[in-house]
Amino acid sequence: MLSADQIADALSLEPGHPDRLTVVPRPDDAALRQRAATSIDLRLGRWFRSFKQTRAQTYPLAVTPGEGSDLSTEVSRTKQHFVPFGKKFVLHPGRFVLGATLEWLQLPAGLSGYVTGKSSLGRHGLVIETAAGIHPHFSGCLTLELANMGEVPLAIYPGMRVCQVFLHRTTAGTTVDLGMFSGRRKPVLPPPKEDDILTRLSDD
Amino acid sequence: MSSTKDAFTAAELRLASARRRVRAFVDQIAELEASDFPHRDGLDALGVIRTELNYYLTDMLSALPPTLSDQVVDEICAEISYTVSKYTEVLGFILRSTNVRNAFEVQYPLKRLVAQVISPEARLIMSSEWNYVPFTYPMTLDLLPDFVLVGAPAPESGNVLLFPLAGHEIGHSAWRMQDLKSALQTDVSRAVARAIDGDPDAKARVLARTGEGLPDLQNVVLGTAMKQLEEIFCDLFGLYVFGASYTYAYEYFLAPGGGSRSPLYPSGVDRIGYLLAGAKALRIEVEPELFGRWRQTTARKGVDPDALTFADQAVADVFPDLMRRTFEILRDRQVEPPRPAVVEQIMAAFANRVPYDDDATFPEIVTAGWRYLRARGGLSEAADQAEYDMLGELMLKSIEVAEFRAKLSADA
Repeated sequence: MLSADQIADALSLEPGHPDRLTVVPRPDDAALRQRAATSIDLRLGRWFRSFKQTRAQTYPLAVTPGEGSDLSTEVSRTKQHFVPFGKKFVLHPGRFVLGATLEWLQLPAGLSGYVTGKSSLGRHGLVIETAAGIHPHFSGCLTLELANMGEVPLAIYPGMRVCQVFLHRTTAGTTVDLGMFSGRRKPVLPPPKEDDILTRLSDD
Repeated sequence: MSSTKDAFTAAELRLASARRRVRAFVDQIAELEASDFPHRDGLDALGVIRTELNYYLTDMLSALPPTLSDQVVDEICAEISYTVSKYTEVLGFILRSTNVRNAFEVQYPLKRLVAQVISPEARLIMSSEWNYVPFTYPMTLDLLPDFVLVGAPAPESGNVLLFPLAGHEIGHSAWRMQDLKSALQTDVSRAVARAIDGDPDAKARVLARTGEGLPDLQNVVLGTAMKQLEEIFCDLFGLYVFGASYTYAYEYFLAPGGGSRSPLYPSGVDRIGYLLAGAKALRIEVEPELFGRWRQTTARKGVDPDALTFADQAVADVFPDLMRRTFEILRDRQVEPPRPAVVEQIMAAFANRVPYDDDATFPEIVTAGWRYLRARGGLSEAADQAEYDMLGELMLKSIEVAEFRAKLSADA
């Protein structure tokens, strides 16, 4: 796992350097080193995606021959919200919403990471998906799965610290950048992918 | 109106219809106010309109004496019809400002620009039009004099690359705010007189054809020239603020020129000429072929060709002074044109597929976006879609980061 100094060093490499770690807006270098933590705090972005109440009884999370391929997209299943800085988004008990980090991250080939929520928020019932992996070459804002597991509505604010990312070096093999232009600033909800093994298992 | 009467006059029933119409309008505003407004200005505009329409209900229509003549009733109803019909369109515009297809990140830098060049109190409503015309607002809205309305065509209201054209529309508000019409009146009147007197044959021809006197002709030509100068002012305004990106957005929307010419605009080719003259004065590099095969517009039927020529000559005469005034106004307001070195740095960030992470203006970001796009051949093939989409994301994120940094430095 990268130390605070190693994170700060990776952030300080010249643009275009193959080992450069990019976080935009860039965290304060001195504060990062002083804090001496092994993670970078990330802030909440301004775009949210909530789920619509629909007439569909279920939503298949995998593509199977029996279900067909008519899967709803993020456009038809969700509603987007934009919350300016200084305003709040209220997450009611039991509700779930997708958010995104304010920061745009770009990981080099030799780094991967995972995102965790902040315990100070978790204690109020705000749960952020834990151990979400970030692969080498990732570029974009991280989609966050935010759920209120507490008993009172929670106000969350764009720009607030919401999660942290830990980084490791990938030590073996080579990684390939498969999503050169996949970076997005809004939370994304990709449809399930075709799974050949699942398809074959489902065959009669 | 009492409902215990046996019979009602046509005037009473007409007034009742007017009341119902206004009430339906006000009720609709109440529903719209419950919408999810990402920015406050749209909501404030609804409040202004609601207050005005409530005046009709609570003051005007409820306080009418029973002896009102039919003519007065008709006048009141006509005024209400006009107001309701005019502002129904505006309600639609305001409602569309809440649609998430809009590039909400652009509100902050555009509003700062409006505050800088119009007034710190000016409000901005950014919306979309179901009309493929670039940024057709602002129309002059009596009820909303402090509001600047810009609306991109709905299919592209999230396309940051089009926003330089909003500079032209904000220019219209600046033209009014600076009262340039009055400031230029004397010079344009003289230029019109020179143009008319400079061609005695055309002068005699148009006077004979229209049967009007010289003062009438001068007035018509003056009005036409002044409207053309306003359009040129707005182009120069957009060019100064947005730099080369204004020329790219202009070309995107209007190429290859041609079409019918409104007398209120310079001819298509003249307009490009003024734009290029402005670019030269500002040392903005315009790609030589960008407007190379621009087609001329053709004058509409019913427009007197000699009168239009007089107006065109007067406009050409006044143009150098107009350009000087335009740039002076913007310099006085501390508006900085895009800095080429920063544009280069932003392009380098985009090439690395990351947003720009330093102080940059909205025009610098969009200029970098245009230059990146053009350097990549336009990114229009299906295989280019992901890169094109990401370019939009990088521009919008860079704009957001600039807002983040501006707010932090303002608080420092």
